[in-house]
Amino acid sequence: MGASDQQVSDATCDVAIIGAGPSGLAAAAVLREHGVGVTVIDEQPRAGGQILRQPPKNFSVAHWLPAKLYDRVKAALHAVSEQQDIDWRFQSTVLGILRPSAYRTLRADASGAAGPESAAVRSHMERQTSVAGPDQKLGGGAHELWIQGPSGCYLLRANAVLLAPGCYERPLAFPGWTLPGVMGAGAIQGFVKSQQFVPGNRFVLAGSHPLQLVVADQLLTAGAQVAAVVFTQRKQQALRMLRHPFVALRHHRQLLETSHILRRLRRAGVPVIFGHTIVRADGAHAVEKATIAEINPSGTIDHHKTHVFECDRIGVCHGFLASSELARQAGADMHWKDHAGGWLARHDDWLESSIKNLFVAGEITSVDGADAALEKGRIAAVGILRSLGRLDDNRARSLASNARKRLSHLQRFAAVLQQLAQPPAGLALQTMSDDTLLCRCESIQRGELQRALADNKHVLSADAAKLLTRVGMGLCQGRLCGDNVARVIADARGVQPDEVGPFQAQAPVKPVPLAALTRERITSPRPRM
Amino acid sequence: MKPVNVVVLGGGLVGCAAAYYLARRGAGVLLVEQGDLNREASGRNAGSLHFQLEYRLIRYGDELAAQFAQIIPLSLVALEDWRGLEAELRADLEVGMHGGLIVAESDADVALLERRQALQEKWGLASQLLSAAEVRRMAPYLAESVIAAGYFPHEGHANPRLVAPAFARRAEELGVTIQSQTRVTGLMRDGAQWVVTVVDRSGRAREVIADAVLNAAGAWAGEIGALAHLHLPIFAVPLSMNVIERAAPLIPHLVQHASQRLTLKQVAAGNVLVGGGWPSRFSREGSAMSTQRRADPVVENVMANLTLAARLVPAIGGLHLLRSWTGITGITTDQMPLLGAVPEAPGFFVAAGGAAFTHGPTYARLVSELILEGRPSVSIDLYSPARFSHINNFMASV
Repeated sequence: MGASDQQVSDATCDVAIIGAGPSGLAAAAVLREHGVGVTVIDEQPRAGGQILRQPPKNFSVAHWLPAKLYDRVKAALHAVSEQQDIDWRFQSTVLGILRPSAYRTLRADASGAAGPESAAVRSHMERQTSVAGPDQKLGGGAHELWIQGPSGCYLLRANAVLLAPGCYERPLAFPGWTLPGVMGAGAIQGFVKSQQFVPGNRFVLAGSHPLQLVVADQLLTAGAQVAAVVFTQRKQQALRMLRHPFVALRHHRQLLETSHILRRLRRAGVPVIFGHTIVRADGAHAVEKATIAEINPSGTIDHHKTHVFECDRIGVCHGFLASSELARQAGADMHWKDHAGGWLARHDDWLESSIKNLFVAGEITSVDGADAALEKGRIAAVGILRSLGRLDDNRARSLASNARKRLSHLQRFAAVLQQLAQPPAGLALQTMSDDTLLCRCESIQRGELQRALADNKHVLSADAAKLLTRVGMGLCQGRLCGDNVARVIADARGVQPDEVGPFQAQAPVKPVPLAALTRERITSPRPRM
Repeated sequence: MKPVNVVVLGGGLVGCAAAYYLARRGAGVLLVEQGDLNREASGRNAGSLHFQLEYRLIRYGDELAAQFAQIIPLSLVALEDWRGLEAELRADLEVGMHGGLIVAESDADVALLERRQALQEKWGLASQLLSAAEVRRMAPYLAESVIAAGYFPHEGHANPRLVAPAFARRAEELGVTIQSQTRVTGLMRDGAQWVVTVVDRSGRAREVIADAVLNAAGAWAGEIGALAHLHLPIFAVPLSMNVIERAAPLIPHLVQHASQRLTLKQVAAGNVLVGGGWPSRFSREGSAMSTQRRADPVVENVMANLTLAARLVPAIGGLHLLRSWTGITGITTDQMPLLGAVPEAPGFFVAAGGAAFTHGPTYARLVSELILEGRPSVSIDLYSPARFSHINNFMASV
């Protein structure tokens, strides 16, 4: 059976950390100090997460992320990134968090090249139905990760898992949003940060989150033109966000940064416009212009009061959605908090989810930012040590107490920011017209979903709508459309988006090349589409 | 609202179709579904329209295969039903009946195909055994390893996402009341009638009086049976399905394997669906297996299923697996459907088990005829729950 046997292995580790961002790195440092074996798994080729986006190893980048904003996170990265006793697994995607099977060795036999009808399969099948295996209810303890690494798929068993998958940008659907050149502001920043490459010439940034100020500043520094920075908030509200006294007192650093940025933008002649939203992108093959419209005081868009900016890139910046698919796939209890990142994992004081030894940290518990993520990572690590019996309760409490204090300060700041950076209620529904693509993977327009809802009034959930219309069935697995689909359904049914639910997450949570899954070398070329 | 003559339990394909056929014959129908319509096996199965004997029916030796072959007469009725279904429901169900191939890769496979074909002929299904060259001509996308195939020109597939909802829409037009996210908590016989207790999503309970109850709950039919103090020998099994990203049209047929678990087809959107009865794993709930909590994929099974698919159709090897999911289906102890009246509980009918996608519309049509006319237009005695009277004889309360 050769190579196939190594693909599905019985490897076990103490603690698997999913995500090498601030939370994962901070947790790895704590666990390592206590002599616990740590495996860190991340999709990127290097540690740091989206916040740091390290340049590729063979790049030399002068003045990499000089801003003070990044100091703490950079320190966390430097503390562990060169440690050889951590098992780093980069360019690796966790496809699922599974309950370990009692039948692993039998199954390794059963799925070999000999074909499925071997005696081993029959005996496996019989055992599966007749033998009472070890307790596999929630709370059984160990987990099995289905991982796609650079050389194929394998399983890794972990006594505890820390899930710190971070977040991604909340997409806004509007006419033209699928044109090349419409990006997330954070994605634009990713290019600038990791490669000092500016993906465009003339930018419009539009949204509700102050990140767009940082991106505008970084773009200017990198030599790009910024045509406008557009906030949905009215001026007073935006300034409240930027100058909130609580924020000012406790978070001098962040505040200082934004006021400097505003000054630099003003000096560069970049208009900062308040109380407007992006409403369309136009261009023959790619973005050529952005149209913004005024939001009147009642929160509705006035399509008669518009401005048009010529540009070749639009950065949309409406905050973040937690990457919740693995937590949902694992079956962890979730709750919905719109302004804090959508679907979030419930957890106890030690950041343990509803599933035994599945801990959660970083934005999956609430999108509170990188500094808070560091503290969550530290607390979760102590919680894991406690759960694995490496620390008694008292020792754990005292070890975590400083991190808890810092976290509670940071979360108060984050909560203010979340409230103030929230796009106006109902904006997402207003920017979409009937023929706006809602699900870009499957090319489904908003109107199509609405007609299906009208014709099938028993469709109440996002999953039922997906099954009926294919919305969310494509390559992105609903990450891009899920939030907007839920809003459209909720609106049609007169309920809240959380009653509609997220799409069910299933392993594999991301598409996998068949070549990474099959046991024989596939030589034929990809069929033409 | 019409008085309720029949309460249909289960909003899958069989339940939605039965509600439609019952209403078309004038009955007042209430359909109750614990979750959402079409969300379990009916919407999650592979969508195969297979009329030849499936591998699961012939793998346990000639004697059992001969017994299981009794399903073929029903398959032949189902074939005709599917031909007319899109017109009947005025809906595009993506029905494509362009032929099915059961492929052989070894002499043993060919021998199995020959025995399968003999059984099929005996029951009136005329399939052909294709040579390697004929297979190559008909299905150039298949690998060189295929040396023969059993071919039946009317097999194919339909889209499971669309069929039950189309029945539900037409049923509602005919006055059927559909209550989803509603559980049944009681089934009591009161003289000639049934008292059905239902609890809606807000927790409100109410009692519905009906002349008849149709249990169309699929893998959950046993639980519904238990509410009426009956044993229905149907077991929930978690089967995994895989969908591969879109590709240009390549595979017009339903492809199965003579001696391994595989169904493979390309749907209208271009995606390739791969299944064939590979198990996922239920999660536990105490000493029992839970059909409510998520079932985990068995990674090795997913890999083996896809390995087999990519071996037979090498062109898909460069594509991505998009998703895998689990459908929970109900298998009876003897693999035959449970279709008809339960003699020990007058007014209690079952339509579940077996190949309930291919046969679903037919189960629904025939059982609705049985309920309303007292006898179906095609005999379904072979599949009657009466064959388990030796159990329910000890359960009947009256």
